[in-house]
Amino acid sequence: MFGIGIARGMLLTLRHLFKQPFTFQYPEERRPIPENARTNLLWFEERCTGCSTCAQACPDGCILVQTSPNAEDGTLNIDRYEIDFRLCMYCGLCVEACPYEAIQAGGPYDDAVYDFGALYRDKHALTAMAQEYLRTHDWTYPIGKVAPKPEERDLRLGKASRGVGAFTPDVGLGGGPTPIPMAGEKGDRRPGNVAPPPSSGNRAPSS
Amino acid sequence: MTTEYQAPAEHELETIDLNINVGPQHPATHGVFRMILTVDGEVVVDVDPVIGYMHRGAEKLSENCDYRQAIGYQDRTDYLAQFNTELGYVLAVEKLAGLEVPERAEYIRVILSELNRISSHFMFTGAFGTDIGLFGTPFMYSFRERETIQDFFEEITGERMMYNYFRPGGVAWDVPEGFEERCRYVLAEARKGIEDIDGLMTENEVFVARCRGLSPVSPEDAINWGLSGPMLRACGVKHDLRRAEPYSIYDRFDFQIPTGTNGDVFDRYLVRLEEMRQSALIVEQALAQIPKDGPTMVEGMKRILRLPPGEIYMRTETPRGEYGIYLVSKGGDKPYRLKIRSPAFSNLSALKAMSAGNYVADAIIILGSIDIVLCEVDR
Repeated sequence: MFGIGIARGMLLTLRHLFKQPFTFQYPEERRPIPENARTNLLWFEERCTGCSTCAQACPDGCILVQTSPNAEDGTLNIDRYEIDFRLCMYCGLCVEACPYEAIQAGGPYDDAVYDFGALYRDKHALTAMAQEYLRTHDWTYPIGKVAPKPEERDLRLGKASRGVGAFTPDVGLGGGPTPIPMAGEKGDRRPGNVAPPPSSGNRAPSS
Repeated sequence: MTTEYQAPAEHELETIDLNINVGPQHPATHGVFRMILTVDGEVVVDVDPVIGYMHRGAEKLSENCDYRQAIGYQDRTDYLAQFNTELGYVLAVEKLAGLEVPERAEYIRVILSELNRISSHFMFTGAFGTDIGLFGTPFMYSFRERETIQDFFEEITGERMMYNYFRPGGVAWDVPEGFEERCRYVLAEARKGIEDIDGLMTENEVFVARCRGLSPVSPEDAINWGLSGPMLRACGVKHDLRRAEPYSIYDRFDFQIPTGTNGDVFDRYLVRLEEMRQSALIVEQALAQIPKDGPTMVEGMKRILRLPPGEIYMRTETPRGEYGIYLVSKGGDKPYRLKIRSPAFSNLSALKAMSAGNYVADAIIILGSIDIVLCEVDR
């Protein structure tokens, strides 16, 4: 008889009517994320030695590392460390490649931007993101190791970080989004002439 | 002088064929695909498919990457069956390098690939239901089940879609604790979902009326057109690469190869539905056989793999059909040439022959029954 199959289908949907909803009301209610989720890339400056292994492992070539030898102890100053998240495909090969666990997967996943160029993150923006992560995660790295707290770190130039004027203690410690100056803008503290990324009005990822 | 209008007699009416442009941004085309339909009234006379909107040059890009880096591009060819495409690529590299993969890694790969086949076919049932006009229920039910499987994949690999988990020589890292229990749970959920879809669609009179007898393909035609996968098996050709040329460890499992009889749209749907059940069976057997612990990567693997000069064609069975990787190495850490034989491209080439003579509304169903992934067609 015509309609039996449809009626059976209706019964099936009726059964589902009394089940718990499967969906989440996203912005209010958030699904738990697995621990090893590659939501974003966090770069921890205090762990980085500037060896560029991550840049070599990247299939897209979206990591830029520029270093210069430190006159005092022969280590490398990280002059530039920039990740172009416009190209990044979140494959996680840089995380696997890094011998010092300086780049780790984790962090905010809701970092959509209005300006496409804002996805180009320089050292400041990456440090802000990493510090914000550490602040909200009890100063623990995504891999589970304990990170140094800001008060334990020597924040003088060239001490906490090998880079020149790299660590900015005011960034990431306060709540709310902190504007990160881009190259050439007012407040840009980077040394040297850095080619400006094609963007303006960059903002740090809000948490 | 006045002339009175005279309606021409009916046999004098001149009719011309009309071109209808479907796509490239049309939800029924499953991606970015353009069909130029030539219609005579309601009947499709000619189809001119236009592809290439998603072309990224994955083959050429892979030539600039070492063998590990190119896995990411494999994820992005067939974005509904990423583990299956990764498996094909990784097996090709391993075969050329002569690597012996640890048992546990093989089982993990097979379990994930078969679960991925189930999730890909869920996507088919959902999207196919939408093509026919059953928008809400099958689509939502399919996506619910697919979501469960994707959550499981996310726990293992860290990504929802682009996993990048298989490596030449094994898998990137061992699965987290509680893998088997979680897998059994996901499998049970998926089986419930398969029965739900079966109950909703298979006997639905409207669905059957739209699909049965639509664009039947004979086995000879199917082979001549180079169809593969469920499209070929729906025509009654019992050809599955997991059986015909067992790769990895597929020779250890007991499963059936479902085939259709008419090769029509309804058979394609039925074959896929049955394939999901068979995949669930394979996962169940693999879970029973998997070694509890052991290495998941070849010992002493270097990060940069260097292959000896040579060439290889490795073909595997993805949810869409025969996925072939033709790899030429001239030594060194990068492939000299990587050619991808994508099943959806070959299946799509039969679209014109399949949809000519049918109604416009049916052309959409026929396109949906091919289960194309445009990223894989264009590569």
